[in-house]
Amino acid sequence: MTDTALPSEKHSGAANAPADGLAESRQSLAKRLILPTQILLVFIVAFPLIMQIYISLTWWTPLDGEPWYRAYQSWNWFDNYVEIFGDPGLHGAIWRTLLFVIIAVPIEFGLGLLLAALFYEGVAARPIFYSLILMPMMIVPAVAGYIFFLIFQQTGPLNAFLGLFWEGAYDVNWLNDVNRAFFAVVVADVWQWTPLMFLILFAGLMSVPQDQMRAATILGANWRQRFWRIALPRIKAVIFIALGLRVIECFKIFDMLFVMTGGGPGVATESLSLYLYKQTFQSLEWSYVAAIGITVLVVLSVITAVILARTNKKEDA
Amino acid sequence: MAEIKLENVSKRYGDVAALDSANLTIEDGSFTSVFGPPSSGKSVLLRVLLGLEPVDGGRIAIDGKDVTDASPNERNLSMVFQNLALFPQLSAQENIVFPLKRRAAREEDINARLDQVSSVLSIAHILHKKPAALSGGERQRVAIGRALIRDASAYMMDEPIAALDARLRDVMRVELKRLQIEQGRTFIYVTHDCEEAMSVADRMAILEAGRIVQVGKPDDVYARPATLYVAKLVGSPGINVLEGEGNDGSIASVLGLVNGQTGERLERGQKVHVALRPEALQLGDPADAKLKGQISDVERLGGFSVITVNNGEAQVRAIASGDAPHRIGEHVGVTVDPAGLHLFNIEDGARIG
Amino acid sequence: MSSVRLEATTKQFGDFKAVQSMDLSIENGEFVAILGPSGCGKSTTMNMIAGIEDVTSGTIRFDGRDVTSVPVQKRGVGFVFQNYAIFTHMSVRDNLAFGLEIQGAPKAEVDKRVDEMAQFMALSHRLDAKSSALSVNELQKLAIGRSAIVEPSIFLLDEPLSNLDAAFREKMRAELRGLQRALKQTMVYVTHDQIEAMGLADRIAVMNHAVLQQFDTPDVIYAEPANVFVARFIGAPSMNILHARIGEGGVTLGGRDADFIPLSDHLMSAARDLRSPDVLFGFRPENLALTEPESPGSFTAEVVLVETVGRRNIVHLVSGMSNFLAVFGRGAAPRAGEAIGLLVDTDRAHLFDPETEERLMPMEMSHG
Repeated sequence: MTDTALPSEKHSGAANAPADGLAESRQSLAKRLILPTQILLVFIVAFPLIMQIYISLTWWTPLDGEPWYRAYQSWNWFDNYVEIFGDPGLHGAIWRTLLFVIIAVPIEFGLGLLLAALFYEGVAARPIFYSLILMPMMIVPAVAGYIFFLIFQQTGPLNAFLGLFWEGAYDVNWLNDVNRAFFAVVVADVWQWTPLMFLILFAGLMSVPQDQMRAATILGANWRQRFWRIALPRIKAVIFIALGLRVIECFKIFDMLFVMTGGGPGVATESLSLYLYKQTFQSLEWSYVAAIGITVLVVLSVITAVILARTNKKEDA
Repeated sequence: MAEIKLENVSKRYGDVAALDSANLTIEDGSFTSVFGPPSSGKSVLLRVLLGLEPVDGGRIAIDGKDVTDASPNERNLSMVFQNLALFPQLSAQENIVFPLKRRAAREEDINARLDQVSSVLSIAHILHKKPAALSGGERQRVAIGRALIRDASAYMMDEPIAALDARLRDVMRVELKRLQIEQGRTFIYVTHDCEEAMSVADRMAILEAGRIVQVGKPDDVYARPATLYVAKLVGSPGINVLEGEGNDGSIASVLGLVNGQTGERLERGQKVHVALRPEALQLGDPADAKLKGQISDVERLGGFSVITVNNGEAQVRAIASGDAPHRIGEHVGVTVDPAGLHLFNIEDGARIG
Repeated sequence: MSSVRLEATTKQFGDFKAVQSMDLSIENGEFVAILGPSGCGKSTTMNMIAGIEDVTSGTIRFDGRDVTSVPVQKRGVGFVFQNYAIFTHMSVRDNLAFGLEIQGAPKAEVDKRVDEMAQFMALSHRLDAKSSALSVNELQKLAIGRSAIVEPSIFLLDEPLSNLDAAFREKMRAELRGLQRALKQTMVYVTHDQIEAMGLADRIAVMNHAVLQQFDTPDVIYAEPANVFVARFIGAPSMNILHARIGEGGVTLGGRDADFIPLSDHLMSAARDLRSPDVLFGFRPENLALTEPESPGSFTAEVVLVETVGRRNIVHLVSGMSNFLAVFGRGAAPRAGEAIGLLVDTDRAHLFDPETEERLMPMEMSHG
């Protein structure tokens, strides 16, 4: 009904009108006017990054008593980056973080999708449950960490609850055991971040055209078939975004672990961020930390770019 | 009130020409409809006229004054939008007087104009209502009232009744036409509906891919389409198009030899498009006609029927009375009234004769 | 293929009656249009037949079998949505295969029947195209093919042509009619466009305000409308329905003796049971003929406005207090302001009861 601007393809660029100089000069004036803002924007975004790269190429530490911009006095080219390869503490932290991501994110995705599917089909008292489910996401992670710190105490509510099913007192010390502590932090993370998954996936499902779902119903599809064959394929892009967001966030997990376990027992729950924190404020090796930071940034960027490229390709196909 | 002139107006979006050297003169006090299929540049033409978008070339003049680079305010044109764009929080009356309030007109003048507009549109009894409480037709009238209350050079309408249901459309288009005749103002009406474009306007401009291919009285456009494109676009049911060739003064096609007035202009063997209005074809006894075929479809539409005749080689549609006794499968002959026959160049579709 | 029968079917949303005690019997293989203005209950009726909507009371039967409580997945109807509801993330092939795969048909059979259906719908060359790349024409065929492949008992179509512009609608109408004949399917078609209903259907069910007004062939509905609503709704421009007064051997318009229109005895017999002389006189704009003013049997009217629409002129007229329309061919184009004489084709005119708005039936009598 609306007659939009674009004419039919067959008449592409039948250009016989003279170019209008006025319009062109207006455009270039506009470009020049916003240039200062653009430069400021680039500076704001890029400065911390440039500073970090600069420091990562030196041995500078605040203990030297020199301001950061004099770091060139201890210039060492890529020694910090070489050191990354020979740092078992760092390797351990990366491995644990990866393991954490690999375990926590799929659980969050699965639960989030299940909840979204239930909500999509309609559950009783939907508004109440909706707010209830979203609640954990709104709690400050440090506070969430504290809550689970209390829950997993030897005398905490979890043991008391489990004690109802076992003979005698159930007094496992969750946070002092290497495996159990890891389990506990995964549970805490899942508790806090499943709601975000749910929210994104649910929004995605709501955007699936109702007519298509009804068409599938009339063709005889039950709700499981509708979900797998119509709804899920249609929200592929949303799924990618949800997973990407959580992987990146999860990779940077810090505050909850800091409060719950402080990375312990030993280094059993020490994530990359926690490791970096310790290097920064305990060992004060700032230039080394800067080098790790840059490396992580590069690796994450490459992975993200590859995933995005793949997604776009699939969308086009 | 004014004459509006577009000279070689072009508008491009990237590589595509939305308007391609469009020429159009809208006479003072005329009702001009701008008609074309979707994406032919109708709305771009309106936007460019209103000054909402700059042109890439050419000149626009209102009453002889060049307004090509003038802002929308300076052009003093009034507009009814397709989606009406009424303010939901304001009453009908407040909506209507809004353009005057903004121009800080005197209270007495506003009231006088409001009285005039609301009596012309017979909406005095609904002025206190909010848009949500109005029916589709009433909302339409309020939107038109808001445009009319201004003393503009011309009044533009972009598919103003497309959203209404069929019955109301028929009523509203007559009201618009009557309104324009009474007020004698200049109306420019954009639509993709051929019947609407023909019925409301006293002149119609037809757009093809950004070019204006014909301007004229609707009746003349129908009777003498300038190109095959126009012939196909105008008229319902659509015109029949066959291949034919010149044959010593007459035109040879599957219909046999027809002595069209323009036949003698063709060289022997010159190939042409032969276009025939459905009402120019008569069905009768196969023995009396050159084109004999079988009826493949009968569409009874109340007052008339559309009969499709197929002879394996060509297919034509003819109009018969609503209770014509034709049946699918029946063998009939088709004869032609030469007055309803048009010839077009085979290459560029331009009219011959 | 099935017959469909609605028995006193009612649908109520809270206090609002969407469909009121509807009785409708659709024959096997018939093409029925449900026609009415928006909000008349036509879509609700179709949704109840499909099983998308529960019925409040009454019974729905397919081939005599009660399906009132059969859920939509099991009812086996084909449904073509207004926007076609094609699964745009799938190829044309996957769309066609969807229904069969859901039924768990073996792969080989699915492939075979998809190929057959694609051939039938002339979509073979587009089988592997993404369905979002199809033209509207192809989308319509795909939507029908996707439903037809599971061999539904009936086909329901929800205004599938309403999003198209006028010229294209004409073409798609012809195509749809061809498909219906080829598929020999029972089809129920919902529309608000009377031309569409007239052009497509074997029979039309006209609805208004949740109530079925008339159910008959297009010819009968056009020639013998049951009431004022049907008379006005069918035909474009609408039938003229004017207040008139019964006189000796005819009617007078708007109470003016000058505008006496003689009617046939046959038509006059329709008014035999009226208690007052007031009546509604209905005639179609195309059943008026132009004549000299004051010629015998004619009445006079003044031309207000002439709309020239292609092959027809729609002439707006006023006579006394009555406004009405006439449709003439291109040759006859009176000018605004002119006084003209008009002859009504009284064989095609009607009288309606002004209170009930029902059409008054003439007495059966043998002609000639």
